[in-house]
Amino acid sequence: MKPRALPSPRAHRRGRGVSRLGLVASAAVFLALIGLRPLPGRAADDEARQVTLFGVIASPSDQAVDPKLARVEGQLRKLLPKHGFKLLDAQSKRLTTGQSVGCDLASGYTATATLTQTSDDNGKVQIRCNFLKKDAVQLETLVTTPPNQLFFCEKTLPDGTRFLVGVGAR
Amino acid sequence: MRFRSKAECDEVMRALASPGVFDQDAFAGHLALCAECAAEAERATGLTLAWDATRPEEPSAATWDDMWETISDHLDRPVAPVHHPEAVPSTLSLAPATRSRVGVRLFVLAQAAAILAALTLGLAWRPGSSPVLTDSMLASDGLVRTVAARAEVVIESGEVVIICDDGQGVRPVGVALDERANSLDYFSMLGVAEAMAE
Repeated sequence: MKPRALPSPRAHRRGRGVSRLGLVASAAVFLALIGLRPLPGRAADDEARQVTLFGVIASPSDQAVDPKLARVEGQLRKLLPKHGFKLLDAQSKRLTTGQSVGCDLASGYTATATLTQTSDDNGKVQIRCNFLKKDAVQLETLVTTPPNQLFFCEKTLPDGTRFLVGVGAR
Repeated sequence: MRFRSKAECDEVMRALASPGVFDQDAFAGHLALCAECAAEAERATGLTLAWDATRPEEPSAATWDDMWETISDHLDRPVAPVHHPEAVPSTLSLAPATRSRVGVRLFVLAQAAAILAALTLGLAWRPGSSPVLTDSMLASDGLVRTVAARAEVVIESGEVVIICDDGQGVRPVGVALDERANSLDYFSMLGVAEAMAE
């Protein structure tokens, strides 16, 4: 037996449908108000952030850009004009407070990002960034930054080349 | 569809996702060359076997007919108007079509306005939600500016910052955004970086 065609809605069904619409709308208002509650100043320690770290070597003597960086060539050139770029490493890990992610650079250098606070009173993430040479800390910076926003650390080598490390957390 | 070389991995993936008519020998030959595609094919085979073993029983035609009959009967059933003498008259009662529709429309509009107001308040209230491009960032010459050296850096929403160590101390350097620049480029750059990660 073929299914019968559904009859057209009548006025009383329209009223019933509108009452359901009102219920859905009320639920949406409730949920929106729930979302307005203030973010906790200190997030629970079991919250985590996806932290991404990538290292690039920038050379003033070679203008070539690594094909892997083609999509971000414009942004890199704005950061360091008149340089060529080569991707050294990229890592992304979900971290809880105290955990780290690192990437290998060249010439014995590595860069690490340690999540020190998942969310402060302003909703910002705090990350400690290190440049290390053979496990010796060359540079350490404590950065407080909004989530979903990249920042960069740069180290200039004696020969003029630069390590550019991008760090971001979601 | 023919798979000529290792570079045709994309075609193999499409064949696995939506099997159609393709050269079986060439497909097998590609899998013999490409460990990645071979592993993907093995996973696809395992998934197919698991689905065949666990898929629910297809309802019979009689079951479908019964279901439609039930739905149709339910919709055809006359509904008596609901009357609550002690309640405030509501425009949402199950009244006949002769009752005014204006009240119903006003209620729906009021609910929509409430949702919009709640969302607007939420967007305005969240701390630190507004992107901040301070006056110091809007340098008209578009050159990179240097800020005082420090080992602790606080970055505001919308700022693009390079923390430089050129042997003269740590300097957070704000990249000034000229009219052509778009800070959103750097937001999307994070997504690109995640894709590059192993």
